[in-house]
Amino acid sequence: MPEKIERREIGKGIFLSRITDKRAKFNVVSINFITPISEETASEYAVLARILTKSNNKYPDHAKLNSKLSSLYAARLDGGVLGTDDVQFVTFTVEYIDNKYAFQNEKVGSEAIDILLSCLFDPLLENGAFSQKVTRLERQAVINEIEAEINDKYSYASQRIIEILYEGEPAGIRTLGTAAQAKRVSAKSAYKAYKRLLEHCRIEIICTGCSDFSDEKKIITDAFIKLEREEIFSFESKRSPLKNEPKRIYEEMEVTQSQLALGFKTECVNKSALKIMNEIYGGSSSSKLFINIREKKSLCYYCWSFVNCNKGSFSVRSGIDKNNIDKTEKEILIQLEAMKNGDFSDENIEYAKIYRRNFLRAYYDSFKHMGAWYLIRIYEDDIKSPEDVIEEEARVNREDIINAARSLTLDTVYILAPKD
Amino acid sequence: MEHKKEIIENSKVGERYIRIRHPSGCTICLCPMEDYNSVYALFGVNYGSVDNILKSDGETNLITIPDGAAHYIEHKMFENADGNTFQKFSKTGANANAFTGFDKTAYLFSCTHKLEENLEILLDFVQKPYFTDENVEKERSIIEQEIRMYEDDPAHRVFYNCLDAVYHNNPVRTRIGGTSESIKKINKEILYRCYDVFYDLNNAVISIAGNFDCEKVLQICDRLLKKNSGHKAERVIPDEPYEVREKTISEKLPCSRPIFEIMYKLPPLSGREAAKAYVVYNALFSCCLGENTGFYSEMYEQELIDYMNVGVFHGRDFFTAAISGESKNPSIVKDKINGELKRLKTALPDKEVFEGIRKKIYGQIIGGLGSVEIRANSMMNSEMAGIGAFDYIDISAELCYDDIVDALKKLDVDNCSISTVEPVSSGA
Repeated sequence: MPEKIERREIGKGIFLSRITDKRAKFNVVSINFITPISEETASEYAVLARILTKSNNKYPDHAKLNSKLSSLYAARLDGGVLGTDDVQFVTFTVEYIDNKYAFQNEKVGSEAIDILLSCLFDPLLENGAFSQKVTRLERQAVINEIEAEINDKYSYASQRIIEILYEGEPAGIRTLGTAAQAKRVSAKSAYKAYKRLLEHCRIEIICTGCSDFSDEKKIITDAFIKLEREEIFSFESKRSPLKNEPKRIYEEMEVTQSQLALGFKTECVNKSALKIMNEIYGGSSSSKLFINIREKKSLCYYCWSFVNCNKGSFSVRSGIDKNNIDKTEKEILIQLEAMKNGDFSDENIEYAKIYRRNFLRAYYDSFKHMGAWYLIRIYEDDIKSPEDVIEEEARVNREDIINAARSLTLDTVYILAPKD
Repeated sequence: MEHKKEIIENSKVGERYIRIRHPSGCTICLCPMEDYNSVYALFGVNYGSVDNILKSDGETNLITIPDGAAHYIEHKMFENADGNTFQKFSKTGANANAFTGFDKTAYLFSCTHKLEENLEILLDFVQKPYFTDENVEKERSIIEQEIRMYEDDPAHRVFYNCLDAVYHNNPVRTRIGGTSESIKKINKEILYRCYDVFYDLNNAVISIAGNFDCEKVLQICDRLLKKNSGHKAERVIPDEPYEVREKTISEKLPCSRPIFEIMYKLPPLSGREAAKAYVVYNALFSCCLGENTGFYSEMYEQELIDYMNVGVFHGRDFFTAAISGESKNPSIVKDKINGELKRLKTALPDKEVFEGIRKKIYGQIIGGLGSVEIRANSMMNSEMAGIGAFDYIDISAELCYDDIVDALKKLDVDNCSISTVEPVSSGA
């Protein structure tokens, strides 16, 4: 089992956490900058994350940097952005095998961390800004990535339901921003974004793996305490308001399968009840949606639901034939009505809790997932372990589940259908 | 029942697992991992979409099966005479699933408790097929939706189209799930026939990794595994010409920019030879064209590629080296790639780049050892390929520069196909 998380503040708004798990074969150090997401900066940070991980002063081009990483036994350096609720994480990660597995016990760890810190604190600059060439290439890469969202129809529909469900809210902003915003990013504006990150954003550094990180913590702390920090941006995610009436959006594309997404809003604050309700309703292969819509009525290959407790939202997704859109939408709502009427057994409740227990305990076997688990708990300002959540969910009763279901009100319907 | 346990170990990484040839004919691979919470268990059969010709011992006629039969069986196995298997797993909280590949099908679960109960459920349902006219018909529209989901995915299409272009007769060129037309020809008789031939325990592997008691697992296997029929599935491998079938194949779909897949047709291999070739060609293409190379940097900086990945795609009776990516002009990219490969036949790949790649391949393998899922899958896949699960560790550690130079010199660069998917003019 991994050791408990240790977290301490090492600078103004800078926190360093460690989770050691002796079973792991490698280590991960992730440096996460947390900022409210905005239309003006989403693409800027996306481009910046790519610029910073392509080179640094010591390895001034991508091929040399990659060569060095390969020589460190597939050490992996990543930079990117993640969107969660109303915030954006700008994340830089290095992953490397433990020294004991190297052919000659080379000090893989210290070299890998040195590369990560060099990318962050010793980037390749030209005339007080980033390289024009690198900025141009990475800006285009982000634009390509934004435009490629249309390739995966499931992901595209997921993105659309989020935009419509959270219309006018930060959570409705695409994590990468828009192509138009990305085109405006310059070497100078990316450099300003870089300074902004270092000066104003909350920084969560998480070290997970088989190491005890005693050496690495010192290297990281020494690098970060030198930072000049200004006022730290606060961030919070607000519950999403219900629309006056459900918004329906119908789009067409040259596809063979339709995508149906229903979005709901809730004022229920009982997270455990929402999670158990979600499990019974549409969270697994024994859920009401799977059994009734797929197995009994053969309407789809998948039909599942998701809950976002922070934003107070709930969604259902299905891939179906165009002729079955209305039928499927009706059935989804019929099954939800059944939940509201308490049409589920005590066994269903027990099995949902067992499934969740299984799912949560599995986190302990993946230290990478544990790192991600605690990053989200830290952001939510509610640092609890998977075992803590299991205990909370064990206390959910029938009434809680019915109340959670009854709190759901339809907010959005999105359909992507084949062109006639 | 006493079992002869073979210990397979690797001293470089200090890991081991147990292999047992069970009297039922099934091979069992067990990797106890103390201090883990979870267990990952698979029941796999050496049968996939490429096995589209039926012939069992003593039979003289060959029967061609409609495409998608192996996948159809996978779907139907979860329905039994006494109910749906997912319902049984729901009582134990296990996360159950299955997959069908080109040359294998597997049924699996992961759990953090009640392993014995879950294993009993698994071994029970995979040995009790239950196909009726009604339940086969009911599944057809579900599978149709799955097929359409993949068909709408440009990455899926570009890959399969490339296989179609490379191979003349090898059934790897057909969709694993079949097509809307081919699945209409599938009925319960066909499913039972395929099941009887390919799900014989001689053809099966049980693979379990995580925190469990080996003796208890073996007792369950002794109790539940039925004796095999004694019949063996005969593999009928169609003749496959040396050359690719078509050099180029292209279609249009809603996507943002052109994507491509290039495959170099190589002779199929098996066993340790295939494992070594997998490592060698991965290393070769990474050294010649990968992100560590000046060639990749140049292509990226000239904005000829948005990204490009190199690798090997291989299995039972097929082997290709593959390059996939996104580019505004895939055919120029292909010409440049082939030009670079030909140039390096004489100029030779960079030795320093090779050393880095060798360590990278080794590091990637080591990284997977801490995952119960990767360990269980690796044991099953290796067993079906006729090698040990740790063979890749030794092969990658022993890889030398001359291996990739030899492979490059023998590579017929022109024996390749390129598949592209281009954007249609309109979208949503």
